[in-house]
Amino acid sequence: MGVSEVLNDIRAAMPYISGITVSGGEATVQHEFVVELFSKIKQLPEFAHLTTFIDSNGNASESIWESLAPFTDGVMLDLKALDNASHIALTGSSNEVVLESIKFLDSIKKLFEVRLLLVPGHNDSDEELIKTAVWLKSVNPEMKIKINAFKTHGVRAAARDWSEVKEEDLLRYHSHLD
Amino acid sequence: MTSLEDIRSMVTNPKYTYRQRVAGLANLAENLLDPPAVRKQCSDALTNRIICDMYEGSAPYRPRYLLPDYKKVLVNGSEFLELPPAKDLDDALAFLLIMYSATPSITGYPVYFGDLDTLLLPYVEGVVDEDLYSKLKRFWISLDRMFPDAFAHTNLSPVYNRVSKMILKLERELLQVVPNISLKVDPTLTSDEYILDAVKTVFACGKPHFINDPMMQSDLGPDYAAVSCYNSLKIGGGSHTLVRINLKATVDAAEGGVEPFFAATLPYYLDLTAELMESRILYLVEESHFFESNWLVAEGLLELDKFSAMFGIFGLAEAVNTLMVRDGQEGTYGHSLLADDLGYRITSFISAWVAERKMPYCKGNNGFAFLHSQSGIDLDIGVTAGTRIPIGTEPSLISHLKTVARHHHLFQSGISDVLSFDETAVKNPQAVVDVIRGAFKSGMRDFTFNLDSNDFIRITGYLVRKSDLAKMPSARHSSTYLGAGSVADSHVDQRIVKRVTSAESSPSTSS
Repeated sequence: MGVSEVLNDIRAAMPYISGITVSGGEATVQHEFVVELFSKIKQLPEFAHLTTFIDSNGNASESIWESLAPFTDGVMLDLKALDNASHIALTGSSNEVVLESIKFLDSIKKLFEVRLLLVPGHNDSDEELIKTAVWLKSVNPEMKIKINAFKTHGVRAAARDWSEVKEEDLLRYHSHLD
Repeated sequence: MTSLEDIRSMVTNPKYTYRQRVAGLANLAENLLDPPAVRKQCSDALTNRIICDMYEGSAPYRPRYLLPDYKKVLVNGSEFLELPPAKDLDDALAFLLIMYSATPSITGYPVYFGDLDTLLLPYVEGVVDEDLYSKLKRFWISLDRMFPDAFAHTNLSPVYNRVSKMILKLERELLQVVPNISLKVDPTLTSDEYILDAVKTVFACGKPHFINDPMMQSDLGPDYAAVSCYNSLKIGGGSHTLVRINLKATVDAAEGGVEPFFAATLPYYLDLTAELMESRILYLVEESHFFESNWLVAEGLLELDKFSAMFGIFGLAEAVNTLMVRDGQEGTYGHSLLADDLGYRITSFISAWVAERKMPYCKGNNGFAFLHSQSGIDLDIGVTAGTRIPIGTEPSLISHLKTVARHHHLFQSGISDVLSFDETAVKNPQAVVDVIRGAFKSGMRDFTFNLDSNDFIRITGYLVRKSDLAKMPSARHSSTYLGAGSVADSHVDQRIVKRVTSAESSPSTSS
């Protein structure tokens, strides 16, 4: 699907939406495509009322963010775990780039919110939550945090045995992060 | 024609409450009379249910829908009810309950409670929020318990105010079937904050219904309301009758494809529908003497000149799909531009036809009937309501709106579509606000949302609680029985849900 086809789909939906969010997969893997799409949206008058957002796992370099920044209103960024060992256990890779992305996007005022995907028993201990809150606050005291409660619906086989977030977990998360 | 066995079964059937039995017996008695005279081809079409009188009864002695001018009576008081003008909120609330109990209707319960925020606003000055809450709450509970019928309907005005805010709050708290609610939305007067409050109420209880206020005003004038199952009519007037034509049945009744349908079949049955309407209107106005005897008319709260009648259609989807097959064309309604175009050709044809067929005592619409997309009754098996897309085959939200929106301008007295969202929409109510604004921008007149996860299910336009259906037989609301039939027969509980966003929750913005 090319940019012009996506633009046609957006045209059809135009009366019913106020913005576009690209997600994935990982949208920044296709950053050239996203730059082309978002630059069209920002340049063509017919799309003037639409906002442009990226939903990302944060695994992108500063130069990629710089290429996207002029046409992007904000990034919703997932932080799987602040603790690098937990991050590696959950995702198989280090969180170094993700933390750099948070700092960089915040510094250029393009970080809309940080999303924490919390999995019971994996990354939701009181200690880790408090550490996460303190770190995010040190980056920006006004940081917007969104809790994504883990659900087994629609996940890959490896994650199917993880337990789902319960109501009481959610209350505990909010007490640490609000 | 009523049999003794019908009467005996109504008297002895344990599933009906006392009041339901009284209403049922009245209906059986009425049906001992001969219906208003029509030609044989008309009564045959009625017997075969190609046209349908909604089982209104053989001898219409009150208009099907009537919308008393409550504002006027609160200000003037009523001689008949021996009530002086309302002086304060307590007066107004008591006055209205008395009014409702004295208002005739086809179901025995009022179909219109008034635009309650507008009606009560003049009486709430000086009433603190705490008192407004408790007084309005008692009133709201009274509505549901005294008038247990989901067709009983109130409207909210386009401007957010203390009363509408409190009403939405009570709705979320009480989770009642009654009253049904429509919110009049004006793109410039209605704030996002108000629509958002309403959307959150939809998430809790499936109400309100959303209506395009500027479009309604341009067709009906400034004093109109949506009543019962989304019938928009003039305040101080109403609709004598609702007769509907089953488009699927008209197609099934004759052979041939699209062209013979337009040339012969459709005009033939439109004429029979009009004949049936006409006979019922004449009986009501000239034989039953309603307009000469009823106190609402005598006190100027209803005026014959504000009445019209409703010409309903349903089963468009099936009619289109069959005609497409007969013409050797591919595609079905809601999924093919060709099929959608045929659907629009049919509704446009009917609209033009109805706008040229004079109807007696219909000065409320300059001597013509109002066209109405009829949202169905529980007996409609295998026939889709109005111009809707068949349940379970709805396309994506945007295609859905595209298919149905083009019809909306033709149906002055209402055309409701039901859009379903799954519970993930709850996490992104602003997206639903965008859809609502967009839907009106694209020409929708009125529509409603059904949310998969709350206790309410919208049947044709009215609501029942899933928990009440589970309690059958012995539900308190008459309309629950109608709902049970629809769930069993039409799979309204299987509407395709539309996903808006994923499971998320937001702590307050700063950490």
